Amino acid sequence: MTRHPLTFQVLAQCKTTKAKCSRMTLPHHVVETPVFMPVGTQGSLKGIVPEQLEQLNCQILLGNTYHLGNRPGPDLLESCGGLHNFMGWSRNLLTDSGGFQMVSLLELAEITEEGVKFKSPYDGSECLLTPERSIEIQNAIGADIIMQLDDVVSSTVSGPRVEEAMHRTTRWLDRCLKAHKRPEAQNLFPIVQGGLDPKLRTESAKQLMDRDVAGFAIGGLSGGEGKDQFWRMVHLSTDLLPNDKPRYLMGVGFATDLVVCCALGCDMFDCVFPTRTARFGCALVETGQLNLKLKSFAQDFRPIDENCECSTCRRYTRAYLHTIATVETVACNLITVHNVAYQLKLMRNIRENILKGTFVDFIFNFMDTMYPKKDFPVWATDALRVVNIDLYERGSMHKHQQVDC
Amino acid sequence: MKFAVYLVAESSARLGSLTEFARIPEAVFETPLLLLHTRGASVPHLSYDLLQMVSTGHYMLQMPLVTLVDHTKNVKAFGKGIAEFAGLKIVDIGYHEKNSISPWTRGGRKLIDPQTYNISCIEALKPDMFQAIVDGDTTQSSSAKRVRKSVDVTVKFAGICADLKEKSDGSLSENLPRAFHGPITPIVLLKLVSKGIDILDGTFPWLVAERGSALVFPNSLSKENAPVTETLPSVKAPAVVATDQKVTKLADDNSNKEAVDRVYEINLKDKIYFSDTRPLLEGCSCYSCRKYSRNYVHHLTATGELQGPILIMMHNFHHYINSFKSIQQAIKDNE
Repeated sequence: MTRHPLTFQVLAQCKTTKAKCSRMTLPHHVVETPVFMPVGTQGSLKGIVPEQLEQLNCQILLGNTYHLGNRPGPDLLESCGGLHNFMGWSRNLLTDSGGFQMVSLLELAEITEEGVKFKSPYDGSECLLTPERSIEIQNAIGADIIMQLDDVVSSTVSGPRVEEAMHRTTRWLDRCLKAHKRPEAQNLFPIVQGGLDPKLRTESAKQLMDRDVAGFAIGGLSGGEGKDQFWRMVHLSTDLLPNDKPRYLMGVGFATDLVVCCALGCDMFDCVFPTRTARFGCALVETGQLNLKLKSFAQDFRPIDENCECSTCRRYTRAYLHTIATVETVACNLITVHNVAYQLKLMRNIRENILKGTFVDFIFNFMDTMYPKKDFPVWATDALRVVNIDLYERGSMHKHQQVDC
Repeated sequence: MKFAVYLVAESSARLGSLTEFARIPEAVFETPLLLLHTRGASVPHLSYDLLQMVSTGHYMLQMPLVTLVDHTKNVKAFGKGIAEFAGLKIVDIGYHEKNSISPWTRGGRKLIDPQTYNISCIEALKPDMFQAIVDGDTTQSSSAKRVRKSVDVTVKFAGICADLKEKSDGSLSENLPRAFHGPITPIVLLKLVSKGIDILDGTFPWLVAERGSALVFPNSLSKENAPVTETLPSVKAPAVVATDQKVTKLADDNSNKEAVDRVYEINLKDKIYFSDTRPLLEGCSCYSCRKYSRNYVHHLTATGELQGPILIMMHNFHHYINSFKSIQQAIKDNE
């Protein structure tokens, strides 16, 4: 059994739900989980500098292998000593495999046993991304956690293709593990597939758990599937995956989704949503989103959130942001800072409440604030019910005592 | 507001200070003074936090009315002036200028006459200094008649604005500072200062940043800081010359020699910087140069990342601000 450059210590386990608060150490920095990872696609979080992220106590960022592998490319990154040095970020990085972007961004991506065949968007030449090549690029980038190249199938697809992809993902994991040249510095995570089929998903998890890895990702679930199937697959996956290794649910970032999936036992999340919506002038608040371009904010002299302590809210008003949103790039910086602060604060609240044993009450308060008319999404209600929380009859299922760990 | 000149050099360059602003009485601004250009009341690409990383201390900001006129109604409702509205309170002061009587804004053409300017704009925005609106709609190729008319109109507007201001809050300053507008290249900057101009606008660093370029001209008198000696790619001088349109009267023979050698900037979009591990400018102490190399900034500009303009702007302003400090020192030392 290899010694992985990752330790994972569970600090507190919620007695009602499957949520837990843990402490993960990685080569560059510690990470408190559950954690939300902002996405810095091309080696920078759009419009903000690393110091601002440190001030917000962001501990880990995501970078995209597909983009970075093209520009600036693995050779330059390797010569600079990796992406950390290149972008001036001294805390943790996680890179995805490049597979997802390839399939979603490129028109003619063809998947074979060898790898993903596609036409380069830059010069039209035929390229092939193999598990070996993906790992080679990720080794050059140097992130603390790297992802296997998986056979990504849209969750709206059904039939034999899903089973084929599931088995291939396992075979590609083995190729990735073999090609990985820096296991002492970078943790390779496999990705559980199987689409929306419980049998296939179970099989996938079992196969991946046979390999010696430091953590697991749950994939194939942030596409067009209905939320009802989404949560069931998450719940199934977390039931199968070990509790003493981090579980990374890919592509999830809406506040409600984060809260529910923490209750379902996930530890790590990433999503472009908060940073992308900031660029469109939308700020995240406890009740949803504020579209600051709307004229109704023209004379609203409050900060985005009166209780938020980020640098944007301490100094700028909604009215001023209204004048510059999507007009001046400063607006992007200001709203992005706030949205990242919002996401990180949400996760901090989740962790603190799990530690104190008050996570159930936190969930009630959160849902009441987000859905003041009590029109809770059906899927969320169903999902919480299986982890012993009934949003409509509070106190009825919440039988367990709060006990300190 | 008071303006006092306390040193005049042989060349007629002057050192002075602007003090006693009603809103921030303890602030002192040394001239020659650089106005930081803003759009929508913020320095382009730089929020307050990022601006603090360029250099701390007081800034005077130039706020072109054309980027604000759509919002004066809201600022008026705010009641505390444009500086606070834009999150710039305490250390920053605003100054307005306009260079046309009918500015083009995002919402289309707007007609501004002195009455409107004073009442709706100035009183709503509450700048610490403002410039009377001018008819600045002339270029090198304008006819003499047009130029004469623009001067007449400008003088008339200035008179009207001054009257309105006096009516609202008393007298104008006696000892008047001289301001010059328009983006100014470093050579022009030196010429203007030596003619006795006190206030100059900082659009140039921004324009350079907008085309993805970092300023690299020597900005101090230190003997070690030799002129740029690396082989730079041939800079398209016309882009720089185009901003000199307002300098017709000040052009002189000396500029020819410099025009050929003059290289103010490097364009980070150029592929030659792909693997260049040097900072934007060797020896520069700004955030961008201390932390990053040309290859990273090149990557950001090549991929269109917003952090590119941010880093370049931080460098350009830092560099330009330092050149003003050097100029002030040079006048003091009579060089």
